[in-house]
Amino acid sequence: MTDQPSGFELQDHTADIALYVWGNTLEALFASAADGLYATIGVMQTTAEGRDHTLRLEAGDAESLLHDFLAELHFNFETRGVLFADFKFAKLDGRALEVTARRTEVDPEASIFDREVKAVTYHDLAITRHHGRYEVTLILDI
Amino acid sequence: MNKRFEGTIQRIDKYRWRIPKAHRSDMRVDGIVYADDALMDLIRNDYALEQVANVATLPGIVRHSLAMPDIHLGYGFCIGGVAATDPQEGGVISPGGVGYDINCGVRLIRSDLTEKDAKPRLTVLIDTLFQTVPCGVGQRGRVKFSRKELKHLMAAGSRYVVERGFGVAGDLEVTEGGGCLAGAQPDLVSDRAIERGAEQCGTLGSGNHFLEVQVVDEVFDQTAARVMGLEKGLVCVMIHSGSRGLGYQVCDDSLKQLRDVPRKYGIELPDRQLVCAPVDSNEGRHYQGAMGAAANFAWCNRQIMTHLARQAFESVFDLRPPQLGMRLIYDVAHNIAKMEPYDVGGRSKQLCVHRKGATRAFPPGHAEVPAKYRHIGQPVLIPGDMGRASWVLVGQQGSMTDTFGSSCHGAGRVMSRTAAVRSAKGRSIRQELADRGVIARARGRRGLDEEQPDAYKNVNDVVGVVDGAGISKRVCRMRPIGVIKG
Repeated sequence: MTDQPSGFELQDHTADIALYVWGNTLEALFASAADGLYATIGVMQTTAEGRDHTLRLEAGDAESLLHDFLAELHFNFETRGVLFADFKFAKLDGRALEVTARRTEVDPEASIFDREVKAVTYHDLAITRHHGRYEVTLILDI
Repeated sequence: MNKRFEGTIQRIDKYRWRIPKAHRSDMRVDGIVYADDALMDLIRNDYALEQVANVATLPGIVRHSLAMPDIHLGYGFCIGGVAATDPQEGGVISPGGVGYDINCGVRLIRSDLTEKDAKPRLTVLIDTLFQTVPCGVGQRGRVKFSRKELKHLMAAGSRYVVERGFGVAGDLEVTEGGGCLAGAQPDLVSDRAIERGAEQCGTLGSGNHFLEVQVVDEVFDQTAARVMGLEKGLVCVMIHSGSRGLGYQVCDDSLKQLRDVPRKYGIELPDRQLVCAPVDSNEGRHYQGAMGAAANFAWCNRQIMTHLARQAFESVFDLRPPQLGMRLIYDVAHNIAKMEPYDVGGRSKQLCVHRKGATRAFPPGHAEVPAKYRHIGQPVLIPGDMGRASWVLVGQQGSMTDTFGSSCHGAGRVMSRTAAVRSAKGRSIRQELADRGVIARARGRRGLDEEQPDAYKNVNDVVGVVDGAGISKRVCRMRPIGVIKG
């Protein structure tokens, strides 16, 4: 599984969820992290038609940027039932991102999920690169 | 993810262990962990002890970085962590010492019903509670508050919702701090936090949050139990929840605002989740104001659910409030930072006490303990897992001398969520609980599997340590008979 070009795994953490994410590019890492966040909640991105939506974020470093990106997705899901899929990054460096994604909606009140994510934490948050592959472990507060 | 702690840990006595300052050059004080031998064997397998050492590096920390026997891996602070900092010595306040779920806490409501009275209608009661109290992801509250109303609610705390009819005046007297953290500044709460919280006041949430119907199973301190109105066989309701999305967002906003602040004050940190600011700084005061507003929201959240639970009991048993006698016994916060006076080197000093998964446990005679409980000590409510037990304790003098007025907050997890789901494969946790006499209802797909009894330490062992160490004392053990979860 981990020999795929990008992906995620839910790993053991005593109280919360440790989300291990990898990708051959920073873009693939960010997109897989988004998929991992949705999978942790237990919500499926649908193939339904949706209009494109562009997000722009800036932060002091790549880790903060990844946190802010996931926090943005999480806020949109929790308050509006909005999900994003098919991320296309027009820009992504260590300090800024611009991404366009397909925006769809679910009705949280009418749906059953796996668990509530309270937040994306910064605990031991570090994006590393091994043999050309980006990796990060995110602790999601449950 | 979980790494075993490989550092030195020295036994102090039967219930206490020391991580010496020499463990790491950046530690300012020793770490002290409350545990017996059996619990320490479990605790060593968890990276949480290194988090105790991380907290020991915070500027202005007084005496020790403490951990209660329900310690387990958290983020920033460990769960079960207590740390006091002295503002006059550059002491800091850290959102990582409170957590995302600001003023997550527990309350216990007694009733005049006995288990025998409740048994014939128990399934109906649990189903009614499950329909009445919104729980799980995406469930909106029964009460809607406008933005302006939310600001008043965050400023005033429980009193605001009691005045709106969600409870009785007597509830306030037996809520920690009267259900209001002074100095709350709702104007410092972001629009995002308000948007997340707008429809969530009076909702249980998910994860380890629950509403449980319990029976007093054994009384250990007859005097204290009588004062609280508890006796063997009586039915009670325990509610465990916090500040919902509003609090989570306040924490997230604060961590973002504080990202570069440690550098500004020359503070080096071993984990960015521990970002902090001096208590007496604009940044520190800003966090305290926003955190206070979220704490007040949490008290209102539990207060509204109390009202909903009382309504469910009234309709199921067709009884009026005086016949049910559903009085709030107490409400405690277990994720909070508060300014409290302690004796430090013979002088009384205002310290900033962080409790992250730890309960305030003031002893008999303390001015903050409600008058009716002053001679027995502050009630300390310790939820266990869904299958075994929960506890009512009272604070003891040892908490003032040793733990900054704190005790444990629960059983503490021992199994990860992923491992719990694996272990539940092919089993029905709901049926297993039913076989143990507990009717369980959960909305989410994973709730019962992840929260199964085996995922937790035995709360009786945890309580044995805080009792033995003299920081709180056993009053009653409660047995669950029904539970609703997110």
